Order: sequence, then structure tokens, then C-alpha cells
Amino acid sequence: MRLRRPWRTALRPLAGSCLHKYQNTVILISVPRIARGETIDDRVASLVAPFGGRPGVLLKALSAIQRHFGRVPARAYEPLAKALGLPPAQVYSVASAYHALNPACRARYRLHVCKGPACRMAGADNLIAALPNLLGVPEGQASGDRRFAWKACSCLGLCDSAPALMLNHAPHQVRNPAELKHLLGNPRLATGKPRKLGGHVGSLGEPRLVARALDAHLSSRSRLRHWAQFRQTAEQTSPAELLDAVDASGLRGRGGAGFPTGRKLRALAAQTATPKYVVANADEAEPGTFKDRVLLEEDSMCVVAGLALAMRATDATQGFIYLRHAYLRYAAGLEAAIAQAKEQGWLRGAEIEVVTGLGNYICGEETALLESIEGHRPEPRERPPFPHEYGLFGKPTVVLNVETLANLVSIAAHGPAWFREKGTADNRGTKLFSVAGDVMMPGVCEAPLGTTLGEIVDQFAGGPTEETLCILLGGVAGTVVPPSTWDQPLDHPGLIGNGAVTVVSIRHDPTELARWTAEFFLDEMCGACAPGREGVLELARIMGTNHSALQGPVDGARVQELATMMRLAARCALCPSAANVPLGLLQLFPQAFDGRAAPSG
Amino acid sequence: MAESILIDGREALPTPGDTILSAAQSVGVAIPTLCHLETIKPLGTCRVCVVEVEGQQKLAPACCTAAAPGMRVNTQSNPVLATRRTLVELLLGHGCGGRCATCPQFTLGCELATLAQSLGLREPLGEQRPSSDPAEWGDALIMRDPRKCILCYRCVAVCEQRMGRGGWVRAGSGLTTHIGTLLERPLMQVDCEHCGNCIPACPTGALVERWRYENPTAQARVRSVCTYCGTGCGLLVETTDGRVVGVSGDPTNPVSRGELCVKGRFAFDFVHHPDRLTQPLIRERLPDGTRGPLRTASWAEALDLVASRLMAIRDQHGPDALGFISSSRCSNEENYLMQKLARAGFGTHNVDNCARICHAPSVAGLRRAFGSGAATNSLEEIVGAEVILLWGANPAEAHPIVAMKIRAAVARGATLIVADPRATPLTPLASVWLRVRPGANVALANSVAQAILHEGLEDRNFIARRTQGFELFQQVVQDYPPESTGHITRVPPELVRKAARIYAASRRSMILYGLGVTEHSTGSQGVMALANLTLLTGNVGRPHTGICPLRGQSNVQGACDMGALPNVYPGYQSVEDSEVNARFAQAWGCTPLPAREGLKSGEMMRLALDGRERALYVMGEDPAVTEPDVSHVNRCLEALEFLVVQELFMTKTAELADVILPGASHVEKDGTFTNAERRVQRFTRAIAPVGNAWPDWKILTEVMRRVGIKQPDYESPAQIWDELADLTPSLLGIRYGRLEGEGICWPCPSLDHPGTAFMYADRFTLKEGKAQFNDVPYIPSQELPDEDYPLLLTTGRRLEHYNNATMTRRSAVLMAKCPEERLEICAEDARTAGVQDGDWVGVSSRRGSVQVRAQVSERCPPGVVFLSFHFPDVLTNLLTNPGLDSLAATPEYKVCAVRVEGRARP
Repeated sequence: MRLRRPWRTALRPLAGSCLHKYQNTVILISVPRIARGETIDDRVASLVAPFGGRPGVLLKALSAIQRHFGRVPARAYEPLAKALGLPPAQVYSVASAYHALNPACRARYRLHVCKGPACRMAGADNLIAALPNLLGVPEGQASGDRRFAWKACSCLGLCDSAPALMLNHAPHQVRNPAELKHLLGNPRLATGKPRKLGGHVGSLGEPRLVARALDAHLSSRSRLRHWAQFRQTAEQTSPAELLDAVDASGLRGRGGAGFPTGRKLRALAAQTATPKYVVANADEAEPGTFKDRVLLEEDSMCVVAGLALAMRATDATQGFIYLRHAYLRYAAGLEAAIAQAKEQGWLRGAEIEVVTGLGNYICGEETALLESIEGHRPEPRERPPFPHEYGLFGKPTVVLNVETLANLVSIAAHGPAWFREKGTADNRGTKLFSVAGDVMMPGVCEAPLGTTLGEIVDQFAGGPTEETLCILLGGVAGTVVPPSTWDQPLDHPGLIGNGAVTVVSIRHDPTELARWTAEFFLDEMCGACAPGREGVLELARIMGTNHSALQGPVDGARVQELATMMRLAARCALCPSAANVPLGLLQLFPQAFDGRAAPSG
Repeated sequence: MAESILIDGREALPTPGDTILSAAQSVGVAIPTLCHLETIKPLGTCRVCVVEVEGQQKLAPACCTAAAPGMRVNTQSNPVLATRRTLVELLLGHGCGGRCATCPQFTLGCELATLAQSLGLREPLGEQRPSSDPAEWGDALIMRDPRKCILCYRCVAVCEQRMGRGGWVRAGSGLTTHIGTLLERPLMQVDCEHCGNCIPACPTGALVERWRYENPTAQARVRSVCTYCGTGCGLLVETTDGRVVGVSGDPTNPVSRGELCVKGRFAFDFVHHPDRLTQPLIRERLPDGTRGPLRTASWAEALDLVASRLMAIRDQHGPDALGFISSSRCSNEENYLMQKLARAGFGTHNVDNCARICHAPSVAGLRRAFGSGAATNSLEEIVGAEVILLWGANPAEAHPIVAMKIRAAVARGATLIVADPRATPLTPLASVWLRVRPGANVALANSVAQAILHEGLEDRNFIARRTQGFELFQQVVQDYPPESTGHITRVPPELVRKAARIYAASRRSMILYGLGVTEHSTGSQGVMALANLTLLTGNVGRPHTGICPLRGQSNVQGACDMGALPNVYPGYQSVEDSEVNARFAQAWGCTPLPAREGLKSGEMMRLALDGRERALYVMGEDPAVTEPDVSHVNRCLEALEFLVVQELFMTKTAELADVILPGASHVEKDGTFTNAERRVQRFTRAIAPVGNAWPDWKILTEVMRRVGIKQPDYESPAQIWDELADLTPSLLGIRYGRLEGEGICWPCPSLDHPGTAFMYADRFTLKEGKAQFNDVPYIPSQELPDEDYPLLLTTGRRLEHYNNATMTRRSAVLMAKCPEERLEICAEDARTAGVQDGDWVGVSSRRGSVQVRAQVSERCPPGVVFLSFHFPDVLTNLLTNPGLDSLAATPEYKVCAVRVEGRARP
């Protein structure tokens, strides 16, 4: 196809760019040196060359372009489409759906400010309000010298370091506008090697999953030795025995739904079509949730090993780790772990590939995640068919949470009986809890299932900072409970969700929480099906958004009607869950929504 | 019964592939939907069709939930109705807000408004949908109002699945979810054909034609048929105050079902164009015999002159000194009158139509193979075919609605084989692309036949029972193994074998072909070679099989059916049969004509030079542009003593005429067209003829009266139809009264006969009812590239234009989309010729030369260049070779030798 407007301008070498500093940590593909007179067409072609012809090439190509340019330049679409053999319209359609590909942000330093509930409770809105003055540009635009661009984003998975932001790929905790000003004073320094941020990791009782994370003295050599030994143990277990062990352990999926993992794996193992895929869902994006981050950061090998075990148990030949965009900094660690696993013989010819997302919450939904890997718009699929019958590229697939995979490793290492020692009759094992919000010491806590909310908040997190208004369980898509549930055990089918515990103190207004929730879904819904889209739009209209705070009383019956409509008719469970928190708040604090109380914030 | 499902208590028996929605439709339960369309894959976006399935917690979208046996479905339960109501209320409230009074879509049946009314919603809540787009935008053809968009994605799906294009795309996510275009560019700058099929697909007024936006209330809508190709798509012509304000697709038309292409939907500007001829014009001859200026005349004067001069020439030089060229863009009735005028009025068979320069080889070839010179099957059957062999045709540009059917078939799993030297928009869909060298069709088709025979894939039973001539045919094709024809066809033998296997393996293999087969000196042989393939594999005489020529003009089938050919009377009754001659003489009240063929159009013109042809009556044709080697044709036309041209515009031919009679376009008169699948369709008068123009049938009737033919004074085309149908056995059962609905495919021998979608179910119409294998050896084209003229020029069409483009060039938008001709040349040949993309080049053949800009593209293979013949400033037919087909005398437009040289801009 003839390009309508071929771009003949040569690119300037990206000398001094922050990207060079990250060559070892986040840039997964090598870009050839820039030749004099190189055009954007050449550059795009060289960026996507490594993926040529493979399925799902579009997402990888877009990720590579995003990492290189920080966005997809408008002039890159046609060369990209040409290089991939796809219609340019399709490339645009997919790219425009991803938050991380915002075309406006052409700047050397790209600042993303988190507006998850924990960060907003800690004052993220003050940072957002200060930024236009500090940088002299409104949200989503680059400064005149193309040094800075900033954007508020739904969540960065740093709720234990709230309020958090990311400067390019480096996370920071910035408590107030003064600190922000200081940070922006030396952005080159601030984009240096990512440091580990606040939040502590611990356990109530015996540490299992977090043991290696806690053992700071463990050398990499001894870790290697440990994994090599474990592989030999695992080798002696047959796939059938592995499935039996998982069944016997009573392990439930740790992503939130709590579906028995053994049944999921068996369903895949029973499929005759090939190839089969196992996908690790490392797209943890629920605001308030950051437990997988600890595993990815401290123990990436357990994710790879767990995936290898699941693949072996189900006879799958290809694994994918779908890594959240905000966790891009862990990609290199995962790649290293995969290389290590290959070296140690974990994979026996099978392949594991790290695929990085592009910043959309919806990709945590398993079918949207599969669509995303395939290079389509990240939108959930119609079910049935279910992924174990018709999954990735139409082949049998299971999608497992990172923490679930880590538990598979434990079960294979120590046996189901050991695993069942912890937890309750129907909820075996330990669980990672992400504790954040108005508590003394936010962080990730491993505790047996069935531990009460009070134990986790008081014993692990040092208790609430102030009197508690309510607790968000499972993030903004979860439930909201009053402090009176302090003694409630956290388990399935109860309140546990994905283990996110966000404590909200009485400093905050319930209407504020409802508004944040609605805003979040407004940004993060996929917009494909009418019930979800229109329902969320209407919910946001009722609850108010940044631009229009709550006006007049909220009609609880109307919100209930929307919730029912969304639950019954929407394609997936994402948009219907937008009504959970507002409905819970309406029930707990009806007086706050009667239109008389002045909206705060 | 376990196999059945219960829907609102009614029992339905779903077949595999049925959804709850289709099962419900089959038992008469209506489920509303805003995103479902029969022609696209289920989208499941609007969810208005949700229903309750017993045992499921969520409601199921009926459009994309398989109807599983044993299901019990409730479409009217309280949760269903409440959900639907809330949803529609939100769609309305967040969208247009129910301001139907100002919406042009409302009177046309806005699906959203209709549904809201049926749910009893009156005052929807809310604000308008936030949108990053400007409130309204669009281009010269398509207006778009994003506020009214409910994001059903029908437009995107139609664009992608039906048209194979990427005009509309789903873009953004979250609050910014919208329907956009590539990088939000205007439609003119993206991959959009402007077919406008997204407009009828839109359930609201978010997409409307610009003309409708400007004239929201058309006064009348009249059913008509498109004239831009032979597909026969249905139009609704909308008029206000006697002017055509717009055109939309006729959803009841069986061929197009409301879909149209850019020409059919938007190229109607020509009707009221100031260039229209609106007065009869007479050119006085100067004393030295040369042509003087034109002057306006009254109808009576012009008609008197035509009749008296033609009669005088007949009396002086005999009837065969007259020639009549009829028009395949005029109605059946007018074509009938034209040939009757020639035969009954002047006693000559010298009547022809422009099928001569396109599909006459189809008529000749298919008649020899099967007995009837027409498509064996209907176009709708394409969708159900398993294998489609598309040979020498570019339907995506020339017959876009046929291309949509091919795309639909491929989407349903059909295999497409394309034989074409030039890449077309459909070649990427093809499983096998036989990139045959232009002119080598016969060799390639024989090779395919040889491969079928070699592997024993032929249908012995069919051959024995229903065909004759197989032995001789078999002997001839033995000489064409794919390996030894490779140097002629330039197709790798393994591809030929692959295509042969695919075609022969299926019992539903259909051949579609176009002018790439017929416009050769061996065009008829090419058609027969393809017909042989159908006979060899038994793929004829059943649905979804057969062979269909994709005919170029709205009534090229009808013009031939009507006997506007020098060798046959209406209904292909041979003029060499004295009994037929006598019967027509009796019916028309004239003396029997000689039982020998008249002159073909090319011959008429050639004989004008040596004075054997003295006068020509040309209706709706432009031989001075469309015949090959036009400089020669112009000399012929100038040599004529008397030239009458009946036309809409001042064409090159009309510029030479002695009398110009202003005719009427299809929207200004009544009549019937017969499309490529033999379907006779009515078109109705929407406006009075422009200016002082007359319907062509009326002009002809008046000439006939003056010539003294004994016939009633026709008051309407219906009367003419009755006369011609009585004389044509295959049309006997077709009457105007029966044509109000979907039209009828001939043969239709009696008033209670439903018409014939596919022919030859039991017998062929040759002797003994058997089809004939024709042994057709390969003969090279008459002019092949050599040292002086090293490149092969092949010609064809472009999407935006039609024929000599008198109509499409008068559409501002089409001219904006395709403003000029470009010579398509591959990079290798461009390098050799020293030209770059966009350079002016001179293209010359032994007959003439043209100046044109080059377009370096991958569409043509090395050694082949391509030009269309739409633009008068690039008169491609100055170059083409008048080498004629031996049977049908069709010129070899598809092959001539040319030389390309870089030139400065003229």
C-alpha cells in the first residue's frame, strides 16, 4: 500500500534519554543503533522486526513502540501496519483502546499520578491540583520544551506507598506538592534505577509464600541451588499426581473468584485440542491490591516455576505471563527467571513468554486478557464458550493468578497435607492480603484463610490511624463493610475477594468514595456493551465526577435498578461491580447521600 | 422432545448454528435488538435482546447465545422487560435525548425511537453523551452526529465484514469509547469507499446521507433499479418538487437487500446536471458536405427529419445501408422497439448493442455450451457456494454488491480461487491466485481441465448422462498439462493442480467471470473453456453451481434478450430460421426479412468508410470513445451520410451527429431491466423528463409512426412489454402486474410459473437436451509485446467511475475521490522505462498514443500495464487493438502491445 504521507524527516538520536538508563531493567528488546538519515518507517520496522509473523504480534509491537517512544506517534501507525501486514485502521482501533499509548504525551519525562482510593485518601488530589502550576501544562499535554507530560491514572499498584506516582518507569512516594516540586527538580536522578518502595511484607504465623521475600540474606546463588533441588523433586511427580495433589490441597484461585484450581487444571488437561496454553495473570490492577507485586518483585522464579508446573500438569506447551504495564520494571526479572528455568530444565521444550499490558484494568478480566494477547481490543468475550474450550487463539487455555501459581509451587514442594494445615475447612492454605489506606503500617500480609479482618489490620498493620468509617474489601469492585465486621473471618464465599483490605477513616466522606469508584469505572470500562457502558455513565452522573460533585439526593432505588440491569445484561462482571461500593455506602450511610450534607473534598 | 427448545411456551426446533434469536424468529416470537443484522456476525453489544433462560442467573443475549436443545426461554418476564426498559431509557438519555422532531431519521423509522415507543418511554432522562468529537461532522456524502450514536458497532462491522474496508473503527475505551476513523481523519482520507452501507445499518440517525440532512423530508420515494452495472441493485429514488434529491438502497430488492456501492448510492448528480441535453438538436450540413453548427429544433422537426432521411437512404441504397445501435442502458421495451424499428421499419437485421464490446462472447459461448446465452444461476446463490472460481473479474470495483456476496461466502467458509493477472481487492481473500498472463485464459482453463482429468476428478456419471462431445474435448485438453502450458499462462503448475482439485472436489462450485474472459480475440473460446469445467465436474444444473457472467451494464442481458443483436429476434430466436422470420413478419405486419445475419456494430462502422453503410441510429452509446482504435472509428463516423444520436449528454459521438435526440434517464421513465442473473425488474418514473427531453420509448414510437410501422400508439412501456412477451417464449409468463415485488428470473413460460433461479435442472436447451463440450484450442492474442512495443496493456474499470463516465464524471464527489487516470505499472517496468510514481508518461501503441501519469504499484505483474477508459483526456481506446473475437466480434480490449516513455507534462 502506498503511504499517504511518508515521513521523510530523520530522527534525532535519543542521546541522554532516560531510556538508556533502563537498558538493563526494562527494555526487553534491543534497538539497533540509530543511523544518520533514518526515518520513522525504518525505526518502526526495526522495532517490530523481532515479532514478525507470530500470532499476537500487534500487542508486542505496540508495547515495543510504547517503550521506545513513550507513546505511539501518529506517524508510526502506517509504517507499523505495513510492517505487520495489518490494516492501519485495525492498528489504530487497538492502540486507541490502551491508556499507555496516549498520543499526546510526547515528552522526555512522563509523570503518572495514581488516583486509586488509597492514594486519594493520602492526598493524591492535592498533587493533581498542583501539577498544572508546577509543570505549566494541563493533564495529558506535554510542556513546551517537551520535557514533561503528566497524567492521572487509575492505579499504580503502590497503595502501600500512597500517594504514589511514577516518573517514566520509576515509582515514587510523594506526600505533598512540596515533595513533588523537589522530585521534579532533578528528574534525571528521579528516573534512575527504580528503588524499592515503602510498605512492609510480613505474615501472621508461619511465612510460606513470602518466606523468600522476607529472607533478605538469601544470596542469588543459594536461591539457584534451591530451585535446582526443587526441580528434581518436582520431576519425580507425574502430571496425574500433580493434579491429584492440587485437588487434595483444596487450593482455590487467588484472583478473587475462589474457583477450585484443581478443577480448572483438570478441565484443561481433559482437552484434546493442541496446543494448550496456560496464562499467568500478572495484570493485578484492582485499586487496593498489590500482593502480586511482592511475588513478582522478590520471587519471580516462583511465578515461572508455578507456571511450568501448571503447564506440565495440563500438557500445555506455551505459557504466557501477562504483566501489568505499571509493573513493567519486573519484566526483566521475569525474563531472567524464565532463562534460568530453561537452563535448569523446567520447561522441557515448552516456552514461556512475558507479555506486557498497556495499562488497562479490564485486561485483568481473563477473556479480555486473552483478547489483549491476541492483539485485539481488550474487551471481554461472550461466555460460553469458556477459555478451557476456546481460549487463546481459539485453543484450550487456563488463566491463573500469580499467587495461585506460587501456591502450586508450595504444594508440589511440600505436599497437599502440609498445605491443608493452614486455613479453614473450605478455605485451605494461606493468603496474601494487601493492607492499605488509613492504617499505621500498610503492606502485604500473609495469613491463613479465615483470619479475621481485625487480626490483619491490628496485628499486622498496627491498627487504623483514626476512627474507621468503613473498610473496602477487594478494591473498588469489591464490597464495603462497616467496622462492626472486625471479627468477620476472611474466606470464600465470604468477604475475602482478592485479599485487598483498604481501611477508610472518618476523615473521608462516603460520597467521595462513591464518586471515586464511579470515576474509576468511567475510565476503565471497555465500553463495548451497552448495559455496562450506559450503566456506569449513569452511575457516574448520579454520584458526580471531578467536574460535577454530588448534586441533590441520590435515589437509592435508581442505583439498585442500574445495578440489577448491569448484573443481568452486561457481558462481563466488571461494570456490574461498579455498583457494589456505591450501593454498600448508600446502605451504610444513607444520610450522607440525602443531598443535605455538603460534599467535601 | 429433547431436540426442541421452548420460547415463551412455543416449541422451536433449532438447527445447529441457530441462536435463540433466530429460533424465536422461526416461531414468530419477536425479540427487539439494536445491534443485530442478518448480514454480519453477531455483535452482542446492545444487549437489548436479552432473554431469560431457565436455570441461568444472568439474562442471555438472544443474538449470540446458541439455541441449545432443552432450553426454556422467556422473552417477556419482568426482569427482561425491566432490564430492556432501563437500558433503552439510558441509551436514549445519554444519546440524542429523544429529540426526534429535529431528526431526519425519525420519519425513516429510527430503530431506537421505535423501540422506545413500544416500551412506553416518553421522557428520557439525562444529559448527552460526553464526546471528544465535534458535535457533528461529516463530509460531502456522509453526515455523522456522534450524539445520536449508541455504539452498536453495526457500521464498523458492515465496513469490515461486508466491504472488507477499514473506514469506521471502534476506538478509545472507557469514557472515550467511540466510533472513529484512522487517527480521526476525515473519511475521504481513510480506507473508505463511501459506499454508504453504514447508513442503512445505523439504528439511529447518527449516520445519514448529507443530502437527507439538507432535505430532511423528501416528498416521494420511488422504486427503481441502479444503472451502474448489471447486478440490478434496487434503488429508492427520493424526490422533492420534481427533482431527485437523493437515492437510498431498496431493502426489498432481492439482489442487493438495501446495500449499494458508491456509484449507486451517491452518483445521481448527473440527472439534473446542467450539461444534460434538453432540446432536440439538428446540424445542418454545409454546402460542401461538412458539418455545420448545431441548432435547436422542435421534436416534430427533428423526428420528421430522422424518419425522412432514413427512409430516403433506405430507398436509395437498400435497407442494409442503415445501421442501428441499441443501448444496454435503456430498458427492455426500448431495446425491443429499436430492433423492431430496424427489422419491421427498415427491413434490416443491422441492429446491435454494446454487448458486442463486452459480453457477446458470453452469449455466443454459453449458447453453444448449454443452449442459452445467459447466467446459469442467480447471484444470491454465491453466498451458499463452497468454491467460487472468479475468473477475469474485479467485482470489488466493478460489481461491489457481488463482491459483498463473495466476501460473505468466504466468511462462511467458502474457498475462493481467483484467476486474474492484476491484483484486485479480492485477491487477498483467495486461497489460490492464478496470476494468468492476459490472453492465456483458454490455455489455463484447458490446463485446469487436464489436471481434473489427470487426477480422475471428473464426474463420469454427469458427463455420460447429460453431455456430448466429451471424447473430442478430452483429446484436445490432453495437450494442455499444466507443466507444458506454464510458459503461456505464467502460472506455476502446482497452483493449477491445486485449483483444479479444489474446484472439482466440491459439489457446490460456482464460476463467476467478467470481461477479463470475454474481451479477447478468443473470448468466446474462453467462455466455452470455462463452461467445459462446469460440465466436466457436474457443477451445473443445481443451486450454488454453474457459471455466471458478471455483466457490465444495467440491461446488457435484456438488450440481448430483446434481440438487439444482428443474428437473433427476441428470445434468441435465430434470424436464419425462415419460420421464425415468417412468424415475426406476421406479428409485426411487415414482409419477412432475409434469413441471414445483419451487421455487427464494429462492421457497421467499418463499412461506412467504403460507403456500404450510409446512416447510423445510435441510442445511448458512445462508440467514439468505447470502441477500440477510436481514431479509426471517428473516421468511420465522419464518413456517414446521416448520424442520429439519442443521448443524455453531448458525447464524443453526439458531437458528430446530424440529429441529437435528448433521451431520459432511468428515473425519468418507466420500464424494465434484466440483470446479470436474468431477473426482470421494474423501474418506475420518479420525475418528469428533464427539460424537453422525452423517454426513449416515446422517441422511438414517434419515429416508428413516421416510418409507417403498423402498431398501436403505445401509451406506456407496459403495453410494449405485453407485445414483446407474447413473442418471446421465455418471457411469456412475465407481466408488469407480476413485477411489483422481487422481479422474475426468465425462463418463465407461463403466468403461474415462478421463474427460474438456476437453469438446466433436468435438461439443457440444446438438441437431445444435452450440454455440449466444446474443444477449444489456445490461440495467442492478435497483438503481443515485441521489441518496439514491449509491454502488454490491459484495460478495466475503477470503482468510482462507470464506462465512458458521462454520468460519474458529473459527480463532484466521485471526481474528488478519483480525479484522473493513472497508468498502473510495476516497479521493475517503471525502472526500465525510467519513470517514477506520479511522472507523466506517454503510452503508445501502433494505433495512437496518450499522455497519462504513472502510478507505480504492485497490482500489475511485470510486463503488464493497466489503464481504465473512463477519462476523455486519456482516451485509452486510441491504443486498444480492434482484433475481433471470431464468433462474437468482440474486440480484444484486454491485450495490446504498448510502449511507455517518460514525458514532460503536456
